[in-house]
Amino acid sequence: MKDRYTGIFRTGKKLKIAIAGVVLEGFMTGLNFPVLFNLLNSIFTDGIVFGDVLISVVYLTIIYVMRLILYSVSYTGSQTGGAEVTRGIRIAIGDKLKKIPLGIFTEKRTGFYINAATSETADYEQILTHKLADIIKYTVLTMILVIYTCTIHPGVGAILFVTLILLIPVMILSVKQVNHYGKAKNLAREENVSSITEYLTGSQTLRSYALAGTRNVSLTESMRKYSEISYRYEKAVLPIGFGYVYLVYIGIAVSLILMTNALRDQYITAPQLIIIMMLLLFVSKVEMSLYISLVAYRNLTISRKKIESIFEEKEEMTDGSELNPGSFDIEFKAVDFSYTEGEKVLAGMSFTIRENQLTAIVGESGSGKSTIFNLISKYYKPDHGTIRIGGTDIREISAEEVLRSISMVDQEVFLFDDTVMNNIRYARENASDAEVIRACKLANCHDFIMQMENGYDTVIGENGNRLSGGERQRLSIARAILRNSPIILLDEVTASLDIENELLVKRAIKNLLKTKRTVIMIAHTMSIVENADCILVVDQGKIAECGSHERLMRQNGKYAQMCRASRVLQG
Amino acid sequence: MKKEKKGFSLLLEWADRNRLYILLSVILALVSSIGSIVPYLIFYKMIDALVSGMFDMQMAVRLAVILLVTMLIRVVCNMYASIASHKGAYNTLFRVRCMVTEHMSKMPLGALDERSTGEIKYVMNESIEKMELFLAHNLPELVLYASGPVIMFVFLMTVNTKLGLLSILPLLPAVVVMMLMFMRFGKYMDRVNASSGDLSGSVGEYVNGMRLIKAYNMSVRSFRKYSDAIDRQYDLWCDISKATGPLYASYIVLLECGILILVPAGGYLFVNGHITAGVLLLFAFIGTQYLSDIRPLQELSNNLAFVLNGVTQVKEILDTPIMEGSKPFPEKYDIGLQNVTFSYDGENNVLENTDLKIASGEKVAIIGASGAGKSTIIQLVSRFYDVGKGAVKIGGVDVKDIDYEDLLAHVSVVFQKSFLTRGSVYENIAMGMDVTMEDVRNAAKAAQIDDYIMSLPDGYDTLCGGYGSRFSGGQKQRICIARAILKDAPILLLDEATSAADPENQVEIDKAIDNLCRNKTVLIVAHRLDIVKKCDRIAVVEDRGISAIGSFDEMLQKSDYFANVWEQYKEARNTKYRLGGEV
Repeated sequence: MKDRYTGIFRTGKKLKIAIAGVVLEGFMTGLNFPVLFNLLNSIFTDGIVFGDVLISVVYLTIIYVMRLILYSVSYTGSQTGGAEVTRGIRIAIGDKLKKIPLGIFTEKRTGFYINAATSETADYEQILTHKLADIIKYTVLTMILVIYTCTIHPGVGAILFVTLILLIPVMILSVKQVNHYGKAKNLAREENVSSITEYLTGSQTLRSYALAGTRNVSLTESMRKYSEISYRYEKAVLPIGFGYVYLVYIGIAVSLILMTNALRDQYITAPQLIIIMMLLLFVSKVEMSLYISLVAYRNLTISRKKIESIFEEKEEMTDGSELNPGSFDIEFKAVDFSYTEGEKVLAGMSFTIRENQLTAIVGESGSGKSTIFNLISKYYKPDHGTIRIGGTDIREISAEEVLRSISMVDQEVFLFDDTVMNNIRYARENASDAEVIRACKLANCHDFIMQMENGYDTVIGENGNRLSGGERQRLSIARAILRNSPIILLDEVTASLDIENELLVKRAIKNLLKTKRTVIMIAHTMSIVENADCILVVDQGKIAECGSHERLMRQNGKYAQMCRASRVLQG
Repeated sequence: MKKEKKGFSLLLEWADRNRLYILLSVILALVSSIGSIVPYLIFYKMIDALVSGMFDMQMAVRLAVILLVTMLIRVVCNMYASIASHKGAYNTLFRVRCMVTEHMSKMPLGALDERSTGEIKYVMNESIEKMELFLAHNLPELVLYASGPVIMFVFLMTVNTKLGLLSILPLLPAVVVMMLMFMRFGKYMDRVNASSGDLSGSVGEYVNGMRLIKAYNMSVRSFRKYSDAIDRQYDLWCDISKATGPLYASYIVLLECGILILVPAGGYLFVNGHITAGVLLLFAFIGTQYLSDIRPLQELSNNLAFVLNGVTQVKEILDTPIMEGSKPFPEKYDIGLQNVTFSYDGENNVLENTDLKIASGEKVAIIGASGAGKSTIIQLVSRFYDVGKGAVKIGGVDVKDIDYEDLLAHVSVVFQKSFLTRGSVYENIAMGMDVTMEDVRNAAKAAQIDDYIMSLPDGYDTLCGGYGSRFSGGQKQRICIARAILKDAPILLLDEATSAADPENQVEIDKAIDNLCRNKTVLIVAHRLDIVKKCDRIAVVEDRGISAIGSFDEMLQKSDYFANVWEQYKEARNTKYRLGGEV
């Protein structure tokens, strides 16, 4: 699967040409030295006239103008080339996300995806457009100057070469330190972020127990620790760079002695000594820039790794079978499932739900009720066992195909940044305005929609922030009514609403249930399920009891116990 | 009056004694900067000695030693400048974070609610972290990058005034080009802002809505919306690159154009015997390079804007007024709202001239439509917000005059959402109070949760952030109730939880609440009506005030709202779903 995406990080042709241009420009900076060397020679042969100077100026100007043009063109090219790669990566991420199983789209993970497609990609672009070109440029330039120096004095050339090569162990050491202390720093940062989040979510409670502000020792400690570890991290990494800089200067000092020696032996001339000193000073600067660029490059590759991890995720695999349109029975056979390994939520769950019946699921919170919905909608795959819809194993069918037959009504109602009308219409694309309005009326949405400033044309902002929980639930019911799908998964969450909203939602659900189809309802209050065709009682990941209200009451087990508790509540 | 500090001077004020670290860092950076001219000085001395034939091994060794010693000093100074600045920076970060949390603990909670938790989290994590960038990096770098060329310029001026002056000539065209670049970029600013909002919005919708997108078979269309946003971003950056790229590149290269001025000018002076070969070569070499060192300054300015923004955000929090009051908590526990007017936004009053009297030891339920202001009343009593007009009094004393901590110590609030820290169950119930294990267990027993906790493998040491993340809503709620039972404050404000608990759990919660309410003055915001029958009186919040108050039977008679809601409640309770019927 991964192969299909490996190409996306590759630099395009345009970018390659641009980088070549930047490197060539760096090379031309080095051409200044031969010109200065000629000038030097004429100074030391005593025959210098102003004409010699002017000739040098002509050469320098030619080099300069060429650099100006070359750099302007290639810098701009690298910017647009980088933008192109960014676009490619972002599109590829979007494409990949379509193929990842829906269960992976948890709140934490979606944040990661969004970050990857926005800021991480932008960071990666930085590597390409700035750091990569700089690193190649500086390395090539230094290598050329090493060769040039070798032709004059091989010993000094060797020293220069060694200082360049030294960058490798220096980088290895620095990476080691960064990894070692970076891990501790990241842990401290995560701890700090969670402490702050915890402190803010609980600020009301913490305050009333005199645990606010600096009296909250655990928060203060985690902030102190984070500051301390950050400092220790810098202190461990900083000396490496400075140590390297000093090594470069030692190289220069030794070279000076070596060359003075050579000058005395008349192995080199005075102009040669001067030009090499110039080169050494120049290269020392280039090498420091190279070091800084390498460090930055290494930091930015973290972004690339994060992006890569998305492309490594397993894709959903199906052979494209379709659901049997004739039957919508749902069958679980010995299904095991756990969100985190070792903590089974469902353990050998088996049941059959008949089509065109109302089946209620009851059970304590945490017993695995909503997991059943997640498995039917293919958000997650069972660890063991089979789930069949209309006799077809849903493993063989794509998530889209399964979801096409299902309407989910629950607390999480996602709203698009679009008008109310379109938000409902997404449920059935060819629905007319009148049909949408009818659905909204049946779902008790019409009145509050009409109270919005533009009625059905009101644009619901960022995921409908202004809507109350009850209103969102009713919109979700309106979608389900319009959609008219053969299966409805209903999480009856009216218990979390106030009385007026509870009644409105309940009436809306009654309207939704007027059409015969396969309906599974998770119920939190006992009274509503009494008339269900079948009641499944879930206990510790298994079906403990199943049957009609009357039958289960006669059985006098878990269900009867829950009903009695419910009666105590109603007084 | 003291002049109000802003921006960086404010940041340095927050740094407090850590300013010394920063100052030390700046001084060391300056020393290092002065040291940077030494290699060139050596270079120039060497050439002059070579031309005059005075150069020998002895001099070479001397120069090499000078180079090594000064560079050692320079590198060490530089390193310690960085270390000192980081020390100062991280200490300051810690200090600022403490200042913010400390201040927040005294702010009215309402003021905290106005900023979303997300915003404060951002300030605490990101904005404050960015200050490190300024204190540890930008400030010493600013000194280094700005003083380096200045010191070099001064050095060059002492060598030769005319050439020294010529050497800064390239700044002129470079600055002009840079200004031009900023002007061009400025024209795109609106598009840049709009486009990045557009991008994050589209990406967010695509990712967050993926389940629905698949369910509604919208993959193709949604993907197009996503890719269109990306294309627009791409087009924008291509336009910007084409408009500003050549200018930026020219700016970089122009800084090095000194060679084209200094070689002919220096050559002319040298040929005519005005300067030595050393001076000519020094300028030909160094004169082209030192201005490039100011290049990072331009990147620095971007960071500075960011840091300043963070300072302003922190300042806004620190400038929020805090709550004062010095009277001790009164001996009597009756609660009174007198002529209270309150508004969250300063425009729409939630309560207007509202009166309410609750006797000591009385249990009153507050009901009303969502948004009517039920929760507002308990927020005013516990001073999460302060009234606009009128007064809230406890035992006859205005809550504004009571020492805030003393007030909090005598009022227990149980919130709709159960909050547990990541610590152990024991810590979550004890909450830093001076209590024994026995006290904690007794409270847990009263809250109907002791049996469950004891059944856990780690008992009271179970971590709520670990295993405890699997506690059900009802279990968490009971832990919170145990905490309030242990605190045993005379006044209890209860915002009833609305989260769904299964019936057996709910029975336990109700028992826990009964135990908690015993012998206290209680104000309950009732979202479900089950609880109102157990209260002495019921108050209806309607039309920006209390429309009626009385016992359950009285209210059925005198409040239309209550009678109506009670009917609705009964209907909702009796709803039984059945499939089928008319289409």
